[in-house]
Amino acid sequence: MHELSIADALLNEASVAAANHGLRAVNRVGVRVGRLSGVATHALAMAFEILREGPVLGRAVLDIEDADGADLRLTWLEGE
Amino acid sequence: MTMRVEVVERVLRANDALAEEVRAALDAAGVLALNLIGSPGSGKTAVLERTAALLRPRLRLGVIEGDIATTRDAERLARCGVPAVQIETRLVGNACHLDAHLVRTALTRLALTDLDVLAIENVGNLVCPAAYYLGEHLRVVVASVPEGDDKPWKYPSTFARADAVIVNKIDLLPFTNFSMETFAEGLRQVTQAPLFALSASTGDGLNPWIEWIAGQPRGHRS
Repeated sequence: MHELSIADALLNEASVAAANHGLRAVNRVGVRVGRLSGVATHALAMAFEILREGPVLGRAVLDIEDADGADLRLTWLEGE
Repeated sequence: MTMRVEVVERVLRANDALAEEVRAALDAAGVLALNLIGSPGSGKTAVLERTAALLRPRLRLGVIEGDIATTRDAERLARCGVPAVQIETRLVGNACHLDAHLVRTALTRLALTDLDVLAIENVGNLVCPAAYYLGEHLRVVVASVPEGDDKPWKYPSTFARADAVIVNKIDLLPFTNFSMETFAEGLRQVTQAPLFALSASTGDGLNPWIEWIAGQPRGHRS
């Protein structure tokens, strides 16, 4: 259930990163989710789809990389 | 043209930045903060009622209570003479966990200089609170006998990040098939954190837990 909060934080970080790198439209967002992070990846993907909006991130697709440990990071953006 | 940029930023960077502010305020006041995580009904508040009484007069306990609704738990602790502030997450979207922003706001309603130990009792939930750093020094998971001995096996991400684990309600052991060996075996798969078996109801087993708290370093206050 907290995946909505996590997706919201992820979209905020992605928005900042897109602006920093001059991306006007993001197609894909890479995120690393550790198995001990306490985040359910299917719930995160659903929350991301519900919350994404606007010209920069409104069409972005989430690309989830499973990892060991408790890591929870935005890792890359793909766009133009 | 499509391009890919590497970012590598913590998803919860904004939360963690606020948590560091909380941590700095606690350290400046010489207060040790514990983040208590456990299922609804595991006895987190009852453990804190006992803990406050047993720490006194050596150490003064204050509490931040997180619940979705009601101020019942803060009132329970206030009746024990414990300074307590309630966070009702129904007022901020029914959150299933506390975050650093909520804790930082609650801190402004507590006189830190009058405290030695601050317990942050998270919203009853064995999953969601584990993802959020609140600025605490130590994370304590509270489980209980009626929940069953398989909990560390089922919720490894929560138990793996615990600095201490309590199994409460050991007075109910004769009435259940709970095996402390099974629980401990599951726990040892993910952490070497100390395990305290106790009953907040009868008071049995509280002393090692109290001494563990008393033995922790507290901030920078001289």
